[in-house]
Amino acid sequence: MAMMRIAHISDTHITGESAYKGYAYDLIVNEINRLDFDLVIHTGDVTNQGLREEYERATYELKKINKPLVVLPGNHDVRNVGYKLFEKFIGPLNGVREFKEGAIIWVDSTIPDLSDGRVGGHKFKWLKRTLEEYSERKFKIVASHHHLLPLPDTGRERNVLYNAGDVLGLLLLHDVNLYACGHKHVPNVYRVEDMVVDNAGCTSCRKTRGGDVNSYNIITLHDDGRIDVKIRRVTGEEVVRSHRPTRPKIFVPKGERLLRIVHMSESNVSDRVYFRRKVLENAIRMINERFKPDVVVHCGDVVDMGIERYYERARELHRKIEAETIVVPGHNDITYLGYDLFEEYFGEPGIKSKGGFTFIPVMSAQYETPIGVVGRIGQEKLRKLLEEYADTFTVVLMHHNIVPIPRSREIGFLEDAGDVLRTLTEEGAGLVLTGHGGNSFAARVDETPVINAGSISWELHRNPFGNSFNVIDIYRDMVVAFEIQATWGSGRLLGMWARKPLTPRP
Amino acid sequence: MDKNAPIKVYMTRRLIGVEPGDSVKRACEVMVDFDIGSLVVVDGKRVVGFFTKSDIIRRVVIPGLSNETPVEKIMTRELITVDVNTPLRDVLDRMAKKGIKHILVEENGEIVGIFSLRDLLSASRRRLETAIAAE
Repeated sequence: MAMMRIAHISDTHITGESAYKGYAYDLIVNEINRLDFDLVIHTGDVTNQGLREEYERATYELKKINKPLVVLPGNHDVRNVGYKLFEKFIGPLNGVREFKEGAIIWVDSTIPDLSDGRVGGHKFKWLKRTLEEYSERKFKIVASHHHLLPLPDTGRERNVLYNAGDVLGLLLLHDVNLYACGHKHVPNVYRVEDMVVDNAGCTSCRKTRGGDVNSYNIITLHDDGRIDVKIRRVTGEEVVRSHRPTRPKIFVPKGERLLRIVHMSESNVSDRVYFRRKVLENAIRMINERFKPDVVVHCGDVVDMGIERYYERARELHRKIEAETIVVPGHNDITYLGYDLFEEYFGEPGIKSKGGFTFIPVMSAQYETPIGVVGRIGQEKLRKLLEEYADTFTVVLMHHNIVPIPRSREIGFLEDAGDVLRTLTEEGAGLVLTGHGGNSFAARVDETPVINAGSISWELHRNPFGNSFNVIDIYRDMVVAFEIQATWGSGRLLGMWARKPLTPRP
Repeated sequence: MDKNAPIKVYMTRRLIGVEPGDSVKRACEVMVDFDIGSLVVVDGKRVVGFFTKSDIIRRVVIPGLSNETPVEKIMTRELITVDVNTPLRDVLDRMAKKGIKHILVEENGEIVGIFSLRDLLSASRRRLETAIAAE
């Protein structure tokens, strides 16, 4: 039974100028007023430039909505010191609205005069305290302007929330059911673990992407915990995504383990003090003697710099790994002579099939920059490979993380992360392994577990657990990922997910 | 570590288990495979029991039972649990009073997670690693 229905609008860009489409606004608001909604959330960019005249008009336009309303600021609203006007004309920048069995917590993620976002230190602590306070509520919704996960069809991944990884981690730890946001003018719904990430498109701005039309989202909370999000375009076209959290998550191992992968990253072999040779040697010994994996995957930054001496040392150390090894280059590997050296020392990574498993390496590193890219042709190639091998369990390997990593400043390290993530989730990649950011993190996006490895032997990491690598075990019906402390061998569970059935070859 | 945060923030949200009829040997294999010190016993989707490595030493090895004994014979049936929203400080207090190192976490009457003292030891492991890593 539907317990609550919320209309989610965003990016109205109200102004006297042509950016604002008043007829689209009226069309959507009339529909919202006519239909059965308990609440309306506006996730920011109410105005176009944060100007007084725009706020005055916005006050008038928002009054047309005759349902309870939560409004939060977007980057456009805080331009020209608009954050002061927001509080004066609209309301508090942060707050909580309670409802039966739930609460909506909204957080100002804007930075004056910048398009990027940040949930700054004080707000982050406030959000944490507030989530603790509302811990017992059945439905916890957090709303902010900026997106948490890269979005498809937005061109270059930018204007990101600087601490997206920390915010994502916090929301997942607190069992938040839904994150509502806007910003990129692209409607989209993802599921990260058990949290629905609901991006509204733009309600009434001229700037839509790829010829799309204006839209809003309809969120329905059901008594049994299910959440539906419907993207409703002004053309009447609708897309519905539904999610019911799986609880409890209990795994009773049955049958043999089919494959064990050791997943590591950032060895950063060098003669610098930050390289911990002993830790790497210990870890390799542990991998050979205790874990005995079928495959070892190294997701980039084998060396700290692309020079001959480092590559020689790296090859010498990595040769000690007894299992078959697949190495994809990271941005450090291809600095200086690295492009040539990587191929000379580790070979160009290619597709590897093993039993019912296919390893698909993706080159994302670019010369002399930490920013990676797969490229439109690379994405197309990846899509074709995932289709071609859909009857096997596909493991995609790349250096750059796609999902933001806690404790790392997110700047959109993968330039086209949004489109890459869509390719991976739409094609149902079995597993995605990455290795940038110096911290481990695992989250399933839709049906695809995406796992990042921390650094195995580089002191400059961001992992409270220390240097580590991951052990990923694949069973007939489950994927289980552990993180292993590189020195002590103690483990902790990173994630455990039911495997989706493979697509049979036609 | 934030002592006022609810235990759900610190617990492991995924449980690994065996079925009541599984042998102690099978349970030990699972513990070794997954490198864990405790297992839940699951009947359908319901957790009906729990045991740790030291329970196996005390209830199987010392009395000299066969390792083919079904786990339901040796498992703890009266589960010690805390609610998912209990602050960490209260959970630690309860664990100290009961003298246990693992505790099951429940939500709406269902076991949804487990918290183990070793979950709090990551910082000390990292420090010790740094201490010996230098060349």
